[in-house]
Amino acid sequence: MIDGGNNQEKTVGRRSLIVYACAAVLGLCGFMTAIAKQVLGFISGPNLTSAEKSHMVNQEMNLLEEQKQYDQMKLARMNTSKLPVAKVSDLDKNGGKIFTDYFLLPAVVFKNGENSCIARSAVCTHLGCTVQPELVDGKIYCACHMSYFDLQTGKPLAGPATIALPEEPIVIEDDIIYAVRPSGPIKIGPSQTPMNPV
Amino acid sequence: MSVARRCSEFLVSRFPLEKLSYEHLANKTVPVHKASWIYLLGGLTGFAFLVQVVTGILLMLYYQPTVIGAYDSVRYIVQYVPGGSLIRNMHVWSSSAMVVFLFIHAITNAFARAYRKPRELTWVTGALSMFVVLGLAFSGYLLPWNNLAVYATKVGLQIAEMSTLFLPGPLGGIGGQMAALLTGPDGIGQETLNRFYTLHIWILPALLIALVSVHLLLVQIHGMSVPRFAETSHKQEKFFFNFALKDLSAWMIFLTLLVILAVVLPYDYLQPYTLLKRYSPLAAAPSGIKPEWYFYFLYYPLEVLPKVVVILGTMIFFAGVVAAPWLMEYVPRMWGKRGEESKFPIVATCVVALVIVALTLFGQNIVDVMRGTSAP
Repeated sequence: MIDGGNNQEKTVGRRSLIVYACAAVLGLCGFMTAIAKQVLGFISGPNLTSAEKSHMVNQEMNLLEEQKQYDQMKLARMNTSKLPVAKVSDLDKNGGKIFTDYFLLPAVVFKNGENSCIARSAVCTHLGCTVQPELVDGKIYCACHMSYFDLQTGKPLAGPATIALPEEPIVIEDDIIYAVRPSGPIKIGPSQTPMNPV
Repeated sequence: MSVARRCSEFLVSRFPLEKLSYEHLANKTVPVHKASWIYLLGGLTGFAFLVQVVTGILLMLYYQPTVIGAYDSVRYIVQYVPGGSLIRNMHVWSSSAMVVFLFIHAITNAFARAYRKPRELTWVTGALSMFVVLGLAFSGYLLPWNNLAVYATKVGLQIAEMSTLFLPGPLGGIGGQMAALLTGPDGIGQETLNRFYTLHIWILPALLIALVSVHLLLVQIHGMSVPRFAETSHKQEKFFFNFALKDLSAWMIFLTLLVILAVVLPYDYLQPYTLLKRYSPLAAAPSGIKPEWYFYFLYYPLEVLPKVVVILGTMIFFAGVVAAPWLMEYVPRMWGKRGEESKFPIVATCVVALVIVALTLFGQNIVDVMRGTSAP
């Protein structure tokens, strides 16, 4: 019921008010029940089959194994002057390997000719993505924003990067490639070289 | 007049606390005019934040902020926990919705010039809240610990590091130190995740609640601002319960749409599979790493323009947004007009809105054209 007064105020009769109020309360109860059921189900969690559970436990143990290797590497980098990072026999003409260097940053090692290898920082100097471990036409490639770098000099060849990828010192002994501890203090940070300043 | 005196007078005139009474609240009215729908947007932003808080607390029951557990705990929520996919996707979509509402709220109030005296501080607290919301979005992006999350964060930290390099002497290192504080002592890893998680669930929400409380207090004591074209009409409606019901309806419509969206379009479906794999420090970054869509207007210029220009421009722009109430008043005075008469505020708002919308929608195309390459 709307009265046609000057100020256009709407008024509602008592009977319809009661009907509206009841409908609103009922609706609200239904709504809250639905939400409570959903939320309670969420909080009580799933009933997993034993196959699902064992799958998850196995997965977690694999991850812990990976983490253990990473922690062993962290321990080794504090106590030794060279870290084993790859095997020469695992590399081929275009395929290199990414490893974690003394700065705890990704680096990548490639074959460079028959018996020598070359390692460079894998932190793209454009915006810090990790470069690909496969050479593209003999060049190091970062897929993030398509920067190319020269394998020999590290210089940027194409794409947005303007600073060279620094070389990382390695030695090869009996098929195993070791990263060599850099001289001077090691400062851990997001990158070890200045990024493109402009 | 002394500076202290002027400050206290400014504060007293901006916080007329005597208006803060039960009477005033109960009899609060909202202006009615062609554009009064804009008064719903602040409430919608707040409601989206409420959804974030509730779904966020629920997600905390299962999420593990560890390098080993984070990725799998998110998969566990989505795959196994009853209603988990719904809750997680509501959290993701509602964050986007919150940014959309916030942006429209800011732009419409800029057009309505709601920042005019005595509402300058309402605008300032709102603008600061916007930065906190962007910080919440950025810190939340890392938590799933997949490729997209970690590399987007690496890029973000790299930008923070570069952001001050053009400054002279030791000042140039400030950005790097900030990035290092966020990264933690051992590079991107467990400490980084801890720091982002703490920011995301505790520090930034607390900051946001504090800012929004002041914002709401100011809205309450100054009432709604009226755009110039509607100043002649004096039509009002009661807040209780005429406008409050409109608010509530808008929230319920949003909640319904949000639930539908979260059910029919899980967020992960929009991303390439390689970006959603678990992050490994021994794998290369896949192509297609991008920030969330609401950072495009900062990110795409960074890809093609000199970084100094973009970073300096962004800083000036953000400072300008915060100082808008005073800029819009005093800049027109430089050519001898009062803020009231000048077209400058409307033109500036139009330009900002168009640039942000264009970069968000067509950023990739603009980058491709400027680089002279076609889209991959």
